[in-house]
Amino acid sequence: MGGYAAHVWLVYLFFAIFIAYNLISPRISKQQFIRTQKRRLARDEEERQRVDQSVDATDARQ
Amino acid sequence: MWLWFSKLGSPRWFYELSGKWLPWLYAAMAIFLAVGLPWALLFVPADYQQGETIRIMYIHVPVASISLACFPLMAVAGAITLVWRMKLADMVAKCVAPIGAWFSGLALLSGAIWGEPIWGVWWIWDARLTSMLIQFFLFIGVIALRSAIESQDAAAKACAVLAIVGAINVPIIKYSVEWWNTLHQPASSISMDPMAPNPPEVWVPLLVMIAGVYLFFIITLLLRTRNEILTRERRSKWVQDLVRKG
Repeated sequence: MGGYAAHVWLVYLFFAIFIAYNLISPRISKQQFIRTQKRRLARDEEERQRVDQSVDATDARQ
Repeated sequence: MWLWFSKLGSPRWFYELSGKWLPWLYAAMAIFLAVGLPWALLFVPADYQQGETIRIMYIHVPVASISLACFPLMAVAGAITLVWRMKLADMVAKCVAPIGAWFSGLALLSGAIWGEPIWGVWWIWDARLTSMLIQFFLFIGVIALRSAIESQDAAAKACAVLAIVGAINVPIIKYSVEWWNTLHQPASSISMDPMAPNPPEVWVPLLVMIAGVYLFFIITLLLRTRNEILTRERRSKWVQDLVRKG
């Protein structure tokens, strides 16, 4: 490449990294979000069930 | 038309519609880049002055042109946020900033790598390069401003104002090569004449690459905006149903 192969390939390498990062990173963020929200929903559901059980127990005692 | 506009402002509707568009956009991007990249690297003839380094043009020009498009997009989204208080517009404005910073940074980097063998310098304070650097700092500034303000509404308004004010830099970048005596070359004219300095065998692959990189920009923007929608609407039932489905 006339002695400038390093320059040309360096630019294309940066471009490849740029594309790969910007396509992969949002997908990883989305998966992390879904994992976090699933844990939160599961926690909220457990809390709701605990509250329901304690309300049932209180009703039974009365 | 106003119904369509107000529907477009619904984060849920946008999320669902963009989900349908994405596979087609991925396919189109893959085709354009699969054609454009080998064409640029292997089949474009070497330039009579710049030699093989002309191949850098096929990355630098698309990336630089999109970075110039990002700022007005951010400014328009900011204006819509301020005027109509549309949440989705603010989400788009928030997501465009880091993408624009990436594009501006890559334009500067590829330009420096191209400039070293051609101009003999990695950097020069000419009008085009300096104004492009300012744009890069403006993108970083918008990102930093949003992180610095705790209230989401106040951050949206502040970033919208900064984006609108900063948009004055865009015509300065565009016309800098005409208004001032710059090292950066002005825009080249294209020609159908195969003997002209810019024959079709040079600019046709450039158009292919511009199309491919624009599609990549749209995909990246949609992916980030969709994530932002999920984050901001995480308490809504439709997002919780989506999370449960996995």
